[in-house]
Amino acid sequence: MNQPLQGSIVCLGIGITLGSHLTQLARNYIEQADVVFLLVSDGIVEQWVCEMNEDTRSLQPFYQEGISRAISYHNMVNAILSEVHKNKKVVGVFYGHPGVFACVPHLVIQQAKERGYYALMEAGISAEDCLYADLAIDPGEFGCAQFETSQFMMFKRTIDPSAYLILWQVCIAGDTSLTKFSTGIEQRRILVSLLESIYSKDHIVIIYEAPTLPIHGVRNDRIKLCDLLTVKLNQHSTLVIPPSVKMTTNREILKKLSDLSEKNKAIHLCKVT
Amino acid sequence: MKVTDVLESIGQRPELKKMVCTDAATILTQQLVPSNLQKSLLLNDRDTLEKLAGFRQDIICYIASPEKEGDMPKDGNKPPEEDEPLNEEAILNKAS
Repeated sequence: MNQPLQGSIVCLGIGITLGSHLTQLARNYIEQADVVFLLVSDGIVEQWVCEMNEDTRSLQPFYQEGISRAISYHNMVNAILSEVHKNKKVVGVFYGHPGVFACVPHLVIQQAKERGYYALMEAGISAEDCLYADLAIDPGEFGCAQFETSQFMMFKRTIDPSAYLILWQVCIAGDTSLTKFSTGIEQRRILVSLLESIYSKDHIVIIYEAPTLPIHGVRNDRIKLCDLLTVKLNQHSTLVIPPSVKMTTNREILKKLSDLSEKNKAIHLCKVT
Repeated sequence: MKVTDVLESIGQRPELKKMVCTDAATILTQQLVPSNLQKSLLLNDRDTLEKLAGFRQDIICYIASPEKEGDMPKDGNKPPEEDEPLNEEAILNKAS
């Protein structure tokens, strides 16, 4: 009879703001792990997690300008799984939520499970969660679509301007090589042009940044869409585009629902009488 | 006193979330935070904070890259099949 494999992997999120978002469960996982792999968005946050477990290894060195991020992610996955294969209790620590806009945790868990190891993802507070709180936006009110900016540019999408549109990683808009840490004005011009095919150039959009340190404030800059060309963007800047048109009633569906309601009423009356 | 311990404490205290600068200085003094660290925290002097924390490497954080054309989620749904190519001969035979 096969013995269960001893190695395990738990990928967890530590949220965005140091000290404010880490759960007790996540801290316990980190402190009790044999090895911790770490990919976070702030040097001080990285230092903070390193102090929770002596064997904490940053995945930062896998990122290198000029090397495709696809290769970096592949190497990160292999580094984590190699420790699981050594029958160690491994924890992967990621900023925000480990399963949101992050391929490494998903790949690690999928491959570990395929090989018979215990593998689990624990949720964390994502940048998206912070955005809704800081900008007072309820995605359920008008609906909300979100994309990685380059993906939004490279693939044809049907955008509903009566809903919110959130574009992540806008500072590397249009990076087709996956090797850059920033892109230039020309790529941004193409993005603005694409957006101006949906929204007016005077439409007010928001540049949002969640605070990684509790002493930081939120960035909530409201600018005209056309000014996106010149505004300063950082690697963690997010573009939020509020709705530009009112929601349109779908009268055909409303009629069907109304007819259905009348039909059900009639059936009910028949049963009663 | 470690920079990260002070920041963690700030991140967990509701009163520090809405404080004005003078209150912050008082609370940090009560926590016995050294004056040089206090100054960096109050000025949000990131470079000094990173040095005090012992961390100086630039951090890169990028999210998952665009996927390939034609990719679909592995959720059990089948992508729509492409139209069958027209079999002109069969159509002509049927018509006659």
